[in-house]
Amino acid sequence: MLASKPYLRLILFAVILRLLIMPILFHPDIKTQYYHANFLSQGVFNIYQYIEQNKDNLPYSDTFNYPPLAYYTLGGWNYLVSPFLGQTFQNWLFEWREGWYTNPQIFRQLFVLKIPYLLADLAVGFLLIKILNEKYRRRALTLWFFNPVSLYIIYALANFDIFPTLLTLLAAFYFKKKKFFSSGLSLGLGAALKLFPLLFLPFFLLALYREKSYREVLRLIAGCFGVFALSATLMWPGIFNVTGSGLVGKMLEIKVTVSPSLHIPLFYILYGLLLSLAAFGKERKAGIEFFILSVTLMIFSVTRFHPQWFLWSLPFLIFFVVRKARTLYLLIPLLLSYLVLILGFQDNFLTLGILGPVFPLIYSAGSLEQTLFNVIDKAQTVMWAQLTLAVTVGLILLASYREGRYADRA
Amino acid sequence: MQTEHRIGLALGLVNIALLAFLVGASVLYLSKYLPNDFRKTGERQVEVHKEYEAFSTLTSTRDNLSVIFVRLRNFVHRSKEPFVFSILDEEARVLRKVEISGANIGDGEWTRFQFTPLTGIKDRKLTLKLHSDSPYPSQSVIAFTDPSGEFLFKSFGRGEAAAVALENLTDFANRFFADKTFALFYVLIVGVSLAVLLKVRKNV
Repeated sequence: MLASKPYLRLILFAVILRLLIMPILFHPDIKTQYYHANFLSQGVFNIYQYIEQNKDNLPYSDTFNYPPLAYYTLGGWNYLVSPFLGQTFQNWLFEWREGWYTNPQIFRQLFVLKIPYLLADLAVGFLLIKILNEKYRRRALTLWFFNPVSLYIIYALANFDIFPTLLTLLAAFYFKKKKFFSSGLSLGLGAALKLFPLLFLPFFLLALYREKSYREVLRLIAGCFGVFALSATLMWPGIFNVTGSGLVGKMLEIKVTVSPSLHIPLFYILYGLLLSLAAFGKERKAGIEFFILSVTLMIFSVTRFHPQWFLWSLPFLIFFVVRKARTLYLLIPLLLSYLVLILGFQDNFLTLGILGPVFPLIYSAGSLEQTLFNVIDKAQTVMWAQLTLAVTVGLILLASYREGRYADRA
Repeated sequence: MQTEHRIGLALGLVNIALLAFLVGASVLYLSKYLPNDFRKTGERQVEVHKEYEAFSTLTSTRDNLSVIFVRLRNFVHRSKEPFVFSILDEEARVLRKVEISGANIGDGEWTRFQFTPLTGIKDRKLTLKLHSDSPYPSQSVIAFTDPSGEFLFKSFGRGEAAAVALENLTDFANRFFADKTFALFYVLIVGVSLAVLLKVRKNV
């Protein structure tokens, strides 16, 4: 806490900015996630089984595609703050037609439901202060608190990706501190919320294995799988629903054709190359933060991503760019291509729809994507944006690798 | 200027630009797409081809009408023939007619038909008609309908941007402050945070 005192003004400014946008930005994900999470207050402990058994009677029958801890976390918060959510909250959750934006208490509901995201968002800032050298802290905090992407993802799309992102950063922090059980525990908790932190586990293990810290390998695995298995067994066997989540499917979508009958997902190839680098590359060259940044940026650039996935990279990207002012310029093509790709989604909820609580008629007014791409060629524009994104990610990773184990010199 | 300040300034400008874009685009969009009558729910389908026309009725809730979206499906772009959308009045006179190529119809998407605005139509009952030159069944275009067999559509009129902005923002403020308990708490928490921010020394 003391370390953050010099940045109080900056943090206060960040909090006010967030307070202003929290009640007015909306995406249906927050409603669908809390629609499911709300069943915990009604005594439902296995949400997967409950939906399976009651799907014909539910107003919204989509499955819950996240690991169990996501259900307990959101459900727990929902239960805790239910006196503050207003009398219309239940109606809002069960309304799947026109009342999404016009619920009389929607501003209160959005504000209260996003408070945990605000806390996790601030915690990432505090963790960056803890990790970084004093001379980089103000720059990192400015980048984290005021970049439009994290504001958009955390408060507009309002997905809970901020929790596993925070826990992944915490895992890297403990790893650097050589607290391997805590590191594994953080990673396992992250994976118990969304599966993607499991993709980093092999890199943690390989780093320890190469240092011949076999006992530490076991401590990390115990921490990680202990908490993950515990949360999984609570809802066995419904846990397998999480394989229906976006990540698992999307990682396999873009494929490289090796022969007419053999198509290998590009993600597997690049992930395999990164594992080889972790196993056989120069140990001094790449630290754990490099591999986390590489995997997250790779998911983001070579899969048909969900916009919120970019959040997974952001703390690690900031971790890198604060050190070299010149690399800050790489953020410009990265953010521009991200913006163009979002505009290219045929989904008004990602663009103008986020202001739905302010302009409730906006969703009925057709799609911004349709209007924009009546003027410019969509296929060409999206192709150039994807190419720019992939090239920029390549340059960032190259520069990051050349920089070496920067976290050790943080 | 320090790098931190330059970053802060750049990000501040980007955030303001993005917010201005979102609000500006929303107002402009709403002024061009003021919702009129809708017929949005239904999964039944009818095939439109040269021997079968589909119809729907629209009761205009506004005084003008300038664009209508119809949910159509041209499976694998099989129809390349002209596809005609018409608006007829109570005496079946054609008020507006829009012709597009079947090649421009997607697979189950809302297809847009824009025309010179129709005015003076508030509360009038209009008939919408779909016609295709495509032969049946090889190239027919599918229109989604409600249970009564009328095809689905969303219709919009136009308005002055400034008036639309004012109307929407007033409505927003009314809705926000209608929840008095929350509004009071919110104003208080934002106010206190601002007061603390102003009190904290600049170098802190």
